[in-house]
Amino acid sequence: MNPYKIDIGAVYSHRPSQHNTVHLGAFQPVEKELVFDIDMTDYDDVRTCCSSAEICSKCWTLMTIAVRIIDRALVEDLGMKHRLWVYSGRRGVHCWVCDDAVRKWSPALRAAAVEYLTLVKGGAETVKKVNLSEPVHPFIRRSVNVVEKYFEEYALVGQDILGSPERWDKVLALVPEEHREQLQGDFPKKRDSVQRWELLKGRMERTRRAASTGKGAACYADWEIMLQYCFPRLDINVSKGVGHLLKSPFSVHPKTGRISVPLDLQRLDQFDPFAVPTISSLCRELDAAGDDGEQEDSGETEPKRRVRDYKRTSLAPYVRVFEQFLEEMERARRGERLQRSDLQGDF
Amino acid sequence: MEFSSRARQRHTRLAGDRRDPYPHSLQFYQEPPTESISLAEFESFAVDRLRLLKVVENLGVSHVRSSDSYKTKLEAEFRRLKFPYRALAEDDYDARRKDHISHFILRLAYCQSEELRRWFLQQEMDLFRYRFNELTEGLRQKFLEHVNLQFEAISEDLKNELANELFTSTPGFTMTKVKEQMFYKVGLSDAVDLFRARRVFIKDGFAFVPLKDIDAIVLNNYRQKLSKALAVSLILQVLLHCLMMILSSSHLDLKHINLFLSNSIKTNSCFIIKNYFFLIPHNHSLEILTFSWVFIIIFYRTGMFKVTALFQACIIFFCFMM
Repeated sequence: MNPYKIDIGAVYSHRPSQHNTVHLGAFQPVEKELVFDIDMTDYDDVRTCCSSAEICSKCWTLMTIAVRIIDRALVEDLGMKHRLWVYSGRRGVHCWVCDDAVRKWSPALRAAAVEYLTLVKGGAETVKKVNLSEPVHPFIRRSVNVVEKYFEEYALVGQDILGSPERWDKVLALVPEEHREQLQGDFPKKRDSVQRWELLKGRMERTRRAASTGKGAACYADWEIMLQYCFPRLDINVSKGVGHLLKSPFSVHPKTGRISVPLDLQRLDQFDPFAVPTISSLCRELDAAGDDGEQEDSGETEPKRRVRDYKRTSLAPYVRVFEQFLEEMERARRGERLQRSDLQGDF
Repeated sequence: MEFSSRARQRHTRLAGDRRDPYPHSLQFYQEPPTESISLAEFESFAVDRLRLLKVVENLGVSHVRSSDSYKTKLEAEFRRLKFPYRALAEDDYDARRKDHISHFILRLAYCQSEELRRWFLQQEMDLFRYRFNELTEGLRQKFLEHVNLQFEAISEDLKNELANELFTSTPGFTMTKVKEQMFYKVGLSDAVDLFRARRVFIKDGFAFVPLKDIDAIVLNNYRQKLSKALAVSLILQVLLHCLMMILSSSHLDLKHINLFLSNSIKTNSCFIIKNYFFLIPHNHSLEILTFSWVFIIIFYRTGMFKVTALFQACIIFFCFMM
């Protein structure tokens, strides 16, 4: 019997199969990676192109933005070094943080990290999910900087959030009363979403300039709109629970057949979820590679040939990303071991 | 006679001849007291502290913890029961000593069940929080140095570099306040409540906490230490209860027993033995169980805690039966 799905959880104090032989309380999780799960379905209220499990190239940008924002925060703010981002196979991404210290974090600390990274709050009933007030924390400021790079192309052109009166009413619902009427009057005069956004943004920036000289209160509605439409939405239960299981990288997604491949952060903007190999396409490639290979290395043993075959399939670049990630960790661990043995004088 | 020797002691303390055992009115209660006290003092200290903790509990329920009425009422109670409160070191020695000893006595009594432990922990935390916040900034600084809490203050240069970030991330701070107050570099696990609400600037896995927010972190630290200490107290207490049985029934020398115990247990045990001895009745019928006590010590020493616990349970059962 072969497994068709592999989920990874925590390292325990005893073998899990023997958990009944040890009395309650002694069987504890010892360490587990910090994981994040970002799912496209959580964005349904702000997507116009797809809904629930569907994704398209237009809304995939949300994942790109999410990865960039969270990764920046993990590295610069939380000081994490070893992160692996993985495409989940259908409609989202996972992140595995494997730093030694982080693996030992308590559930409370993990929950705190997720809360730090959460800006969009509220369920279906809440209209305005992001509320900013002065002073604005540097984390929020930097996240807005990331969103700004993608906002025009994704939201104004792709999703066209200010394209029609129904759409811009939804956006204007997030703007405070005192500015809403004026904007509602001016919007029809403009040609497209881009121009209307310029109007809204300009107005908000004026309030902030005035506030810095002491005249009136600053309004951050333009930032709030950008964040509500683009900021990542994390599932706290996935990250908090030390007993939670998450799909292993390189496993096959049962519904789409796609492989959960690691993402290359250097080429994140060019990633296309529809170009990810499926199990059937891999099988075809392997068969083709096997037929060619037979002529060359007929002297080799079966397993050796099988191991090298993946390099001839489209899985190769993804495996390279994974290997680079592992090499980084290995290097760091070797450095630590050297340091420790130096301290102990153990040669 | 007694009076003059007391005065002489106080004099030498003022002159700095002896090392002052209580340099601060507040402490983490990490070292148990090593002196012997009379049974009367033992009882009165314990009762007074219990009264104080009960007042803390009642006030905590009926008032908001930082309100003025809470503070004045608690202050009155401190004065009445003669616990250390806003006095200079020279005058406060008796109150601080009482504080120290009474904490350890109550620790013994309240380590015995989960509910008791939780109650004791909660009241001691509230007490500590109140006393820490009543300290002046200078005294707070000195106390932190004394307990060696590894919070390094960031240098002026770093502070100027991060001034803008610190100003926007710490609520209630103007630029001038950022420039004057001390900021400390704290690990993320110590500053959980602050960074989860984004009320502090974090960078590279460290939080930059202003002095005014340090109390939450210190409190957390105190809670962890006390929680661990209570768990240890329980083990010690049961073990030493057994030891007392041996002592009283088999006339073994205290020195021999001490050989079996590691150093840290020893300092704790001396205090407990000296005072507990009064409280355990001699029961000669336990002589037949002496041999099993030796096993207990050996098991404990070699780390077989489960077996030790089982043995202790049996022995205590027998003790009550006889």
